[in-house]
This record gives sequence, C-alpha cells and structure tokens, in this order.
Amino acid sequence: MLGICLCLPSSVPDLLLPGHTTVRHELALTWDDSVTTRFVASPGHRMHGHRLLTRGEPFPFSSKYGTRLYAVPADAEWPDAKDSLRESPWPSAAIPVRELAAVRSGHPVARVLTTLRVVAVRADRLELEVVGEQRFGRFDLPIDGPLWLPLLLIAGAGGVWLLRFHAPRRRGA
Amino acid sequence: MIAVLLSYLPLLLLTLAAELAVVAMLAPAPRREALRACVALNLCTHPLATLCSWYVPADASLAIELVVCGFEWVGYSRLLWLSPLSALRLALPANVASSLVGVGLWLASM
Repeated sequence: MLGICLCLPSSVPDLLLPGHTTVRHELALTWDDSVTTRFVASPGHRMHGHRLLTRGEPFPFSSKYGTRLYAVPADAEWPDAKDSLRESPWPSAAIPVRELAAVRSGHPVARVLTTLRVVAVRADRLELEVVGEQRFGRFDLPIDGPLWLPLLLIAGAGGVWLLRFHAPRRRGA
Repeated sequence: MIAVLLSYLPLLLLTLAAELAVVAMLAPAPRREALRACVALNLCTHPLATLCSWYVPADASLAIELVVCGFEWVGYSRLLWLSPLSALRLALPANVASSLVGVGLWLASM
C-alpha cells in the first residue's frame, strides 16, 4: 500500500528521487507606493536572465541557483540577460525563505505562495519581511488547517470500526 | 481539508481496490467478513502510514510498510479468528499487491 503512496504520481525523474513530486513555490513581493525603485529577481527560476517584478504578482525563484532580489533605480539601464547582478552596485537581499522544490508523492501540497514585503531600501541592502505563506493542493485549492487532520479522522474512524468489528455478532449471541 | 482529501482519497481507494482483490481471492469463508476486515484495517493503517511517509526519510518506507503489514497480519488473525499462518497468507500478498500497483503506476508515469 505504501508503494501507491510513494510512487504516484512521480515525475521529472532526472531531478527527483523516486517517490517525490515537484512543488511550484512562488514569491509575491509587495512594497509601499513611496518606493520608486524597480525590483528585479535574478537569476531567474532556471538560472536565466532577470525578471522585473510587478507588485503582488507571483514569480518563481530558485534556492538552488541563489535567486536574489535587487532594487534597481528607475533610471538605471536594464541589465543584459547574460550578466550576473552579483557585482552590481544595487541594493539586494537574499530570499528569506527556502524554496520547497519537492515533496513525497501523495503529499497534498502542489503549490506554495510566499508573500514578501519590502521594509526598506538601504544604500547597500534591501530589507524584506515574510508576510505570509499560502499552500495550494490539487486544482489549486487552498490548503487551510493542518494537513494531518483529515487523515487522523479517517484513521480514527477505522480504529473505531476495528474496535466494534464483532459488536453486532456479540449482541446476537 | 478538501484539497487534502482530493489528494489522499484516490490513494486510499487504489490501495483498497488492490488489497480487496487479493483478499477476495485468498480469504477463507466467510469472504464477506474478510473484505470488511480488509477495509477496516486499511482505513486505520493507510492514513497513518501515509502521514508517516510524508515526514520520514524515503529510506524508512520499507520499515513503515513492514509495520503496516505486521499490524494487518495481527488484525486479520484477531478479526477473522485465523491462525497466524492463515492471516499472514492474507496480509502479506495483499500488501505486496498494493505495493506492486504503486510501483507499476510509478513506472508507467516515467
């Protein structure tokens, strides 16, 4: 029975261990109206280019490739996609959460959205805070509450059935 | 809760289908009682084993499977008043069958 739990539906076998499935972990960045800089995520999700961020719009990132957020002045020239922004003079910050890239097959989480907020843009760094995290399951339905609760309820029902398995027979005897 | 159930219930139903088929073939009479026992045992063990599989390392999966099989072995023995050997003849093939179904589905998805 565990074979069904662990092996279904596993995909991308070159990247995942057997029995795991990918999770789409995205970020959404928000900032105050008073902030005039543009925000850029670099490198992109698959180690390519830079992504100009729109306030509140989800974007992918990669902990593996070290995606950082940069505050790019409004009048600065857009960097070439091949150039790394690591050496740029613009304030930046590491993503304050670890990417959830995969879960065990059968795990209900299919997508995670973490919302970040720009607290301050300093001369040498960006200050971010984690506002919240929302998990989504199949059909992009939000997952609220503990994951274990429905399973424990089913197990409890099974346990009660086991305890009462012979009850009708005893009454009839 | 709905999202969790939508993800979990197909796994439970697949497991039940595989194990009920084996129990229906191998169970001594009365077969209906054996099928009831199979459903009751799996309703108890499957969610707990699934929860464990989410949170323990992948290499502990075999240990979880063995614990489940052991629990169902004792369960069949006590629920159906079977000898330990007869109960093992139900629990072991049933769990092997559901594991093979899972592996087969995984291979098919590659």
